[in-house]
Amino acid sequence: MSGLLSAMDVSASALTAQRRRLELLVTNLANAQTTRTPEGGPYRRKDVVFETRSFEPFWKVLAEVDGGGLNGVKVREVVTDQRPPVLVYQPNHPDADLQGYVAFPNVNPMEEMANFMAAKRSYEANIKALEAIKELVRRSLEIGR
Amino acid sequence: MRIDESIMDRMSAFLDFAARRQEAITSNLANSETPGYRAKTVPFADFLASEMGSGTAMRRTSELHLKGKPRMIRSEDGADAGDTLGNDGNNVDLDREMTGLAQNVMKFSVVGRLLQQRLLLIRAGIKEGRV
Repeated sequence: MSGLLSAMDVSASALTAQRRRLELLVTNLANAQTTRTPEGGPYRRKDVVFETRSFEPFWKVLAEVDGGGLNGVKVREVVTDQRPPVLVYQPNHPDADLQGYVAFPNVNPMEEMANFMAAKRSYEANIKALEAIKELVRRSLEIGR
Repeated sequence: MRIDESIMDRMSAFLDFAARRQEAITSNLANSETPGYRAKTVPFADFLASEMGSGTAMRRTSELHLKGKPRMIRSEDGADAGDTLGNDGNNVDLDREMTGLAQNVMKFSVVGRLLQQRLLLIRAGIKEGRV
């Protein structure tokens, strides 16, 4: 039973990680036209790198050899996309360079939307897993009735 | 009425197995986009083997020793491993995991119900047929 409860933690870690990713994707979309940032230059798109995170409860380490199964997920780092900014000829723009080109962010709305949908589906899948665990626990509580 | 405990042990072992499988599926779903993650499975064959006594359970020479169980969750790299979709080394197949999830809940429910009915029978026996 404790295994199932830690499995819920695993799902929760995935929900957190995917939500973090969704936040970044929204930030990317919101800043698709931002040409000024505190770091200087246009906004650069950001993305997450996921990493597995061990979820071995102590009792399991102590009592069983069985394990290695519970792997949660966490955001290891937020990476900045290194693709160069898109240069658009707009001589009237206040951020235009001497040749009249403005460096716009390297954000492709199509790509962001595709990632957005993937993140959303992943979030939903993890919610389904969480519901399934709840169902298993509920069923096992019914056994003694 | 003779209470056959072994059948109930089998059923509870199966529930244990299903819970273990649930852990593997949860883990796979959580890491469906983690680079380098390999999908985990809990093969039924392993469960069957350990139930039939032909598994590789560790032998204890003293009751005081900690109980060891055969490793049931394994990383999947066999022939039936899911196709690698991207180039990040991750081989989690979301559709397969979701199907496994639905199946697992159903199997758990069926065996759980069987166990419940078994206990109800025993209770009926204790109460001399009065429910």
